[in-house]
Amino acid sequence: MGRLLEGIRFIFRDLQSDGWRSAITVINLVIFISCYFCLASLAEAGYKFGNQPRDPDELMMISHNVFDLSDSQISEADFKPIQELIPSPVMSVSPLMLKHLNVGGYFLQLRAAPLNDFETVHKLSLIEGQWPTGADEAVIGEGTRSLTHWGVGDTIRIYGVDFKITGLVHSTGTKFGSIWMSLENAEKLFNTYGKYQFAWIVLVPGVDSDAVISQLNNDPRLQGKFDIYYADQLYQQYTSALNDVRDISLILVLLALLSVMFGVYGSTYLTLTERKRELTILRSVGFTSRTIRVVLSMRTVIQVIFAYLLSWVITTLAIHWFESINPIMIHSIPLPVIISAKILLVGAVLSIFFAWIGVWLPTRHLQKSSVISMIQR
Amino acid sequence: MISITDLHKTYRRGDEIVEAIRGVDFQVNDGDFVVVIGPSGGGKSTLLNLIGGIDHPSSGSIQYNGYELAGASEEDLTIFRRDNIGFVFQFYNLLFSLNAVENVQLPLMAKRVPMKAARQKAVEFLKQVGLSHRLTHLPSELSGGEQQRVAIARSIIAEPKLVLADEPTGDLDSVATREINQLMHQLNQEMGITFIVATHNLLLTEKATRVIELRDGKIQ
Repeated sequence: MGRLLEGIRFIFRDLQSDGWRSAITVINLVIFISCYFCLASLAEAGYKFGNQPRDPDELMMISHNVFDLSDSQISEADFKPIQELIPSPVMSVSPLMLKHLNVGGYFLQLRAAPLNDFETVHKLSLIEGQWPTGADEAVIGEGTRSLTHWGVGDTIRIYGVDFKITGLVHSTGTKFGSIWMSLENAEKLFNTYGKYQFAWIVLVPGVDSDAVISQLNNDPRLQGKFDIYYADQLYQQYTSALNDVRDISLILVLLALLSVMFGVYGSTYLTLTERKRELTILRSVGFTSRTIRVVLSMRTVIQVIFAYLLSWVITTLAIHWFESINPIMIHSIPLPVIISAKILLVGAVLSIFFAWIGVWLPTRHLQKSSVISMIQR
Repeated sequence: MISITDLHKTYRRGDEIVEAIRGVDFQVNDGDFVVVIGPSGGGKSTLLNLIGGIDHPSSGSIQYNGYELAGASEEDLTIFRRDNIGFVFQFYNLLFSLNAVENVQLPLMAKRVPMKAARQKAVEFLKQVGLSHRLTHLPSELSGGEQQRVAIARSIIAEPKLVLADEPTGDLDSVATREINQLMHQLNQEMGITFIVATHNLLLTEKATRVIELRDGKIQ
C-alpha cells in the first residue's frame, strides 16, 4: 500500500512537472467524457420514457385515428358496450379528461378524473399535502414539480383561473408529469360537460386482456369510431421516434468512449516519443517494460479519473442549467435527464478500460525493445 | 567476474554496415577498476552497452559470473541490470521532475524495496557522496559535478557488484573531474565495487587497476 501511494505521489509530481501537457490531455478527455454523460443520460431518459412498466389490467378507449390525445371525444353513452362487461372481465370504466395547456410558461398535461378514481383507478399516491376538495384546487405529479419547482401551497393559473396546489402525488407511467384535478372542476373550467378524452378501463386481474381488447375493437357499436389500447401502448407508439434517437445516442456514446481510447493512445504515443530519455533511464536502472506500462497506465488512470469527475460536475451543472431555461418535454410530459448512478458507474468502468487499451496499444512493443533501440528510435 | 569472448557488434547505418566491436576478448575480476580509453567512435560506449545488457551482441559471449548475457531476453536483461549493474552516464541522466533523493531511490523502486527504507538508504548514499545539503534539490538546481554525484549514488544504491560509467567526467570541469574520479576510486576500494569506465580523459587512468585501449572496435 505504501509503495502504491508513493508511486502515485511520483506520478502526481510527474504530471505536475509536465503541467501543460497534462492539462491538455485532461481537457481532451473532459470533452469526450462530457459527450458520453450527455448522450448516455439522454438515451437513458428516452429509454425510461418509452419503456414504462406495463399494466395489462388497464385499457383505454379513445376516438378512432386521433394523433393528439386531447382531440379525442368520448361521451358517457359510448361507455355502454364496456359497462356491459362489468363485473367480469371489466372491473370498472370511468371517464378521464386530458388537455395540453400552457401553465405558467410550461406546456403541461392536465388530467381530470372523478376524485374517487385518483387512488383506486389511476393509482396516484399522495406524498405531500392533501387531496383537492375545493373548486379551485389541484395536485401535481413529481415530474411536474421537478420541472416547474412548484410546491404545495403555490397558486397556478390554469385557463385563466387560479388554482391552489394542495398536494404532490407519485404515480407510475407517464402520469407523474401531469396536473390532476377533479372532473367536476375541469368540466366547469372548460365548459365541456359530459365530453371526455378517454374511457379508462380497469380489468379484473388475470383475465385475458388481449381477448377483451379484441372483443371491444370488434364491437359494432365501437368499431370505426373508437380504438381500444393498453393504457400505456399509445405512449409507446408516440415514443418510438424517441427510441430511434436513443439508439443513435447509444452509438454516439460508444464513439465518445472510443474517442477516450484514441485520445489516450495519442497522448501515450507522444509521451513515448517525447520522453524517450526518461523511459530509457528507467529501463537502464532496472524498471521492466511491464512496470513502465503499469506506471503509464496508472498515470493515465489518474488523468481519466480526474477528467471523469470534472466532466461529471460540468455536465450535471450544464444539464441543470439547460433544464432550467429550456426543459425537454415529450407530449407535454417532462423528460427527466439525469446522470444516474448506473451511467456514472458504467462510464467509469468503460472509460478506464478504454483508457487502459489506449495505453496498452502504443506500449506493447516495449517488452521486445532493447534499451539501445529506444535510444535510437 | 566478467568474461568476454570473441565479441562482435555490427549495425547498419543507411546502406553501410558498421563493425563497432571486432572480436574483443578480455576478463574483469571482482574489485577491478578498469578504464577503457580510445578515440571517439572506437567502440567504447558500444562495449559498455553490451556489457550492461543495454544492447545485444551480434556474436560472441559475455558472461557475468557464469550468466550468459548474449541471447537473454529483454525482460531478463532488465532484471539482470537491476540486480547486478549500476550505470553512470556522461550527461547524468537524472529525471528532471524528481529531486536528488527521489532520483537515487529509483533503482530500489524497481526492486520493490519498501519506500521508507529506500528513502533512508537514498539519503545515506547521498551523504556518502557528499550531498547531504542537496537532498531535496531538483537536478536543475545542482551543478554538473553535483548531478554526477547524484547519478553515482543512484548507480550504487542497489549495491551492484559492477558499475559501468560512460564518460562520467565528459561534461565536467577539471576540479569536478578530480572529485568524481576520487569518489569512484573510493567506492571501488571501500565497497569493493568493480568499475568499468569509458573515457577520453587520461586523468582517470592514474589509479586504474587496468587500462584497455579500444580503437576501431579492437583492443590494442
